[in-house]
Amino acid sequence: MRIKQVVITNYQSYYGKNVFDFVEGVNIIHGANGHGKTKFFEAIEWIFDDYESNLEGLISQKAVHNEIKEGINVQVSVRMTVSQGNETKTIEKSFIAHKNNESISISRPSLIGIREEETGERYQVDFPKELRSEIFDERIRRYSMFKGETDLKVFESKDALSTLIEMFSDATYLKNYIPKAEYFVGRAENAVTAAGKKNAREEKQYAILSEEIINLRREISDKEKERNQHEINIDKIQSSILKYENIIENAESYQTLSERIRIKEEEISKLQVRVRECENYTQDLFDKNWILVNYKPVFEEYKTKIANVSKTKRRLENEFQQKIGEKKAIENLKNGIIPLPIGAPTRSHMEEMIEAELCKVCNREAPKGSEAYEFMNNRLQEYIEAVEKDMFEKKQLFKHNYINSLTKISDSNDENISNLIKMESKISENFEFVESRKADINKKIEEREKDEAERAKVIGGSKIDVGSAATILRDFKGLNTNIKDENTSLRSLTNIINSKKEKLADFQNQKNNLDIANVAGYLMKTQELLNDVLTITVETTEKEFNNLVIDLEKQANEIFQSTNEGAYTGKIKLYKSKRGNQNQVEFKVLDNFNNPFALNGAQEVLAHTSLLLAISKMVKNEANESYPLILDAPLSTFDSNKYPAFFNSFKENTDQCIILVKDFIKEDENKKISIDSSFYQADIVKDKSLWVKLDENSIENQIETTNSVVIEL
Amino acid sequence: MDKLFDEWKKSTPKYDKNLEHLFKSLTRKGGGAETDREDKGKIFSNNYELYIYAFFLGLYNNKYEELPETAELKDFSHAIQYWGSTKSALRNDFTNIQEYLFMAVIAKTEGIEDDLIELDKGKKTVEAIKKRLHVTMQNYTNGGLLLLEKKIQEENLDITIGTSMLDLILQSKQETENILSEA
Repeated sequence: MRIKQVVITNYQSYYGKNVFDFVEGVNIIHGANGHGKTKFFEAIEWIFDDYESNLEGLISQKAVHNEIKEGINVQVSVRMTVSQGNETKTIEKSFIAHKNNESISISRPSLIGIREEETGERYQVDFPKELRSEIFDERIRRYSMFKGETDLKVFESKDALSTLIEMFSDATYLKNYIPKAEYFVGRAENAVTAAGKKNAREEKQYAILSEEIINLRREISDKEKERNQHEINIDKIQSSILKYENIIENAESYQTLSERIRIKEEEISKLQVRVRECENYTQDLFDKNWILVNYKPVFEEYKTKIANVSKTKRRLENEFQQKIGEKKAIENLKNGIIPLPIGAPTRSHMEEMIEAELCKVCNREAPKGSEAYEFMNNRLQEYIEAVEKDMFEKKQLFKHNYINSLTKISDSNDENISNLIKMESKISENFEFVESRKADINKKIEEREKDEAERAKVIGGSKIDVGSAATILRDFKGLNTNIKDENTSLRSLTNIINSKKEKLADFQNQKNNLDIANVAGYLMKTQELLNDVLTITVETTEKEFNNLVIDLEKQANEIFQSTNEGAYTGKIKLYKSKRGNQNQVEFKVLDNFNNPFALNGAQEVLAHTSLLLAISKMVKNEANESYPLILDAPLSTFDSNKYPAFFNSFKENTDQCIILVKDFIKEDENKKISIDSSFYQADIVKDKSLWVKLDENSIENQIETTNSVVIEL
Repeated sequence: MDKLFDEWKKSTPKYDKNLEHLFKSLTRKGGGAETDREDKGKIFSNNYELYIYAFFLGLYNNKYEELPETAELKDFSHAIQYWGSTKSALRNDFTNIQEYLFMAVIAKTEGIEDDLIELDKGKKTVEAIKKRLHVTMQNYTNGGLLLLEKKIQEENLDITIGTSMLDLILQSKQETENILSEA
């Protein structure tokens, strides 16, 4: 069917008579928002719409304002002329409005159908609605006319597609024979059984056999259904696996590499933790006392200072004591040497040395009576006296002993200071350690990157990132497990079915033998024949439907790929399933891993139009007739660079289409609108273009002055 | 026994309020706030760490900068005896540093010898000694803080580099040696 002409008269924004002539191929109607594009689309829809409401609202306001006067009739009509086969057919829907006492009265809409045969004979048909269905069957129209992008989502209904496919399946007519065939098969079996039963002698055995056969058949049929489901599952999984295998050429090496990468990553993070622990430099100034790295000279200063103070104190003490006991002091002050403090060496040490007659300080003998012996003895006496004297004579220069505590600090830290000297080398060791660990980390990172690059190669040229690769592999492994399970189930089911079939064949043989003996040969043959007919009918119907689905999916993908110009946008997938006896077809766009592919608005429109075009092609093939596609403003989500591919796909896949677009219209500074020159680029295919725009005399916001006009470009 | 160190560490030294900004920008006060975004890049866990750091930095670089007479002095109410007692899963105790601070201030307080004699004689009070020691400590710290401020503000020291503070201390060794050889 081709739309040759649409004439819109006084309908909505179309005032007066507006003629749209169309050609084969791509017809583009430009129109800015509010200039009449959608009104055109609605006018066509109106022809096919039998629910009439608000007819008054359909009258051109300009016509209401200018034309309708007392006694004058105004006709509102939409007429479509098409060529179909060798005939030209016109369908016109119209109503008359006229003014009656200041109010508008409207006649019932009428439908007129005109058929013009090849011979040139032209006549008005008696049943215009039939002609209308002939022109554009409602079921086909559903897949031919789309308003906006959301309309396109009709494909997302599982039943919508299967209805359409069934409609065009060559075997549809066969489907009607299935119940009949089943009925006759049943009748034949009953007839055979009834005849077989006639022999009373074998009646009991025959009944048992018949019963067993029925049961076995039911069981086999159940098991076959089950097996069929497994086969479908296996097919699905298989196709998924194939897709995965494109990506993962070698799953084994992928896995090995992934494991290597994982181990490297673990090593790297362990090293990083160690480095971090060693890199708390500021903290370690305190926690590891690194801040004391330069402390040694300070300590030496302290030590010297405190030693001097201590010495001064003792000297002063001595001088003080001297003043107290001048005489004794003079004796003690030999050669101006400051004696050790009283009590050093200790009393017990002194007693020990006197007893041994040996000075253990200078390691010299001090025999009894010698000067040295006497010195030691005197010193001990002096100490004893001093202690005793202290008991009653408390007179001292120094009351406190703070200096002594400072000396103690000095003494106790002597050893620690030697550690401070090592501090510097410890710090540089730490640095070296950190540096060498960092070098290790870098080396490991390099190795990991190498492995990653290798793994990327294994993944292949797909755009899958390495992150999702892990998921892919997991899924891939899962699929392999699934298919193993499915195959196991399938094998066991097949075994069960085979053994049941053997049993069935055996029973049937036994029954046949009885039948041959008892039933007339023609009855047996009839039964066989009817059985064959049923089998052929069922299988052909199913096969035909499947073929159509497969074909449709293939076609849709071809179109989809070509409109996407090589960009990867997933694959259109049509899933056939069964609900009861009813076939269902589900439309999905999936990525290579059978996950839903996230399409953007434009891609979604392209996916839907691809399927739409595939359907259109299928309709053409199956029904031997093509129908025009009419799309209103499907491109709002499009970038202009998508247009050539989009229009081209229509050019290549349909015989006729009418696309209404708001694009390619530009407005200059004076608000004058014109068609943008980019539309005339060679890569935008169009066989005809029209432009609907508001008449220049239209005044904005005064609906009674506005009317759309159609201009052929 | 009379322990000067025990007495000394009970006190809290002060710093110039004008340098408070260094404490605010370089330390994470109150501990436990390490995840606080504002504290990112703050390198000392608390005020006394910066104080100790500044003291040693001043000490090693011989930056003895007397606090201006008019300076308003601040402290952070945390006596020396608690400094470094932060043992946790992440940190070690470093209270031993208190003694090194003490030795250093003794070593660097000029003429403290006489005072110590007087102290033992009972002619000077512990308080008076502590006061003198604090002046030393505060002036070295002041010197260290000023040096740090200069490094950051004028020499663009990048404090976000982990080694920045350690490096300043390590560099001071050269300074110390130069000073010693001059002496």
